Amino acid sequence: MFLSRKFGEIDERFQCPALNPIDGYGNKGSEYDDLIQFWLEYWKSESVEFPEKLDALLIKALIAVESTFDSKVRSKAKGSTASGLMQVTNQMVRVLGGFPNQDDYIEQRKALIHVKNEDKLDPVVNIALGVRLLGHKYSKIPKGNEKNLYNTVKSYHSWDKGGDTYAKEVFSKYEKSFKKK
Amino acid sequence: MQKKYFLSMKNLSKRSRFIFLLILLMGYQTYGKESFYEPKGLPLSRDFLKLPDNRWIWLKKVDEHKSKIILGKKFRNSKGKLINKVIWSEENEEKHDALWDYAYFLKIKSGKYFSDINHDGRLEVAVMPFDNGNNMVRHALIFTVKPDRLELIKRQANYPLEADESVFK
Repeated sequence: MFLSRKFGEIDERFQCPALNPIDGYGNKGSEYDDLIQFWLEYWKSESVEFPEKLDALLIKALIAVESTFDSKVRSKAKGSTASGLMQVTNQMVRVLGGFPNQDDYIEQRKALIHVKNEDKLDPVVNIALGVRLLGHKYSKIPKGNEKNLYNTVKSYHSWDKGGDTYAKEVFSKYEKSFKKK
Repeated sequence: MQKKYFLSMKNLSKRSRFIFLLILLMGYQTYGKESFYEPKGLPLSRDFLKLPDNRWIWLKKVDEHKSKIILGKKFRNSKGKLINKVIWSEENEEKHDALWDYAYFLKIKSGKYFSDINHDGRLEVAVMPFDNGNNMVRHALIFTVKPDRLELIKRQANYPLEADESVFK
């Protein structure tokens, strides 16, 4: 668990404001406010590009949709490896680790992250992976489509009608929570 | 003096052998570490399928978000040489409500990659276009293999990708 230990130390020094609660979840998830903001800033400092309007509250809304803030949750789909707060799958861990896919094609070569499967259930690791994945998905929005926040969130789930429904749900939660400010 | 020189040379060759082994061991350890973190992903490399009548289908990645379906046939020419000929091909990007970053074959029926599921005398194959999104329950595309092309006949919903089971029981 080198990652958790290493960044756990940095986390103690990293002070950030509390985020708004997500609509319908009460105060659930407030314990992850620091982690979300930390990882967003960390990946930015590693030159990972994100949509201009991406803020930590939207990532919090995405976590609410993915896992209802249950850090130990595993997907109910048969054989699925999606687990943790941001429901990161083994396939995504491959991509983020820079491992080859079809015909030795590697999707990502910079700001790589290597973690063990069991560590995905650690909130520190899971949020690190999920936020990095958002950056990766932003860089991979297909040509002819606007490079924006909506398409990044859609792409995080799937580039199809299901992805649209998902993005709308995340944005609906985000906007309701944002208004509470 | 000469003896001393030969002894030191002997030591040098011993040392170089030791250093070489050390470098080899360090390299092995580094390799081991990376593969230790390599999780098993989806079978995206399952992109080539041989059909029983000497035809084949290749789901070739041609661009970041594009995959090509190629239908070909292997035959012998007049000189008896084996030749592969492309019968038909189609490039897919955003098609059939999917983004074709990758495409791979699924088992269509009880462990088989091709089967005549609608009993029309033609084989059907199951293809999964994949965009590397986090959602692992998708639509499987069922194509019928016509003599001159592939034609989509069905989109089978709720296929759990990571279970990698047959699309039809």
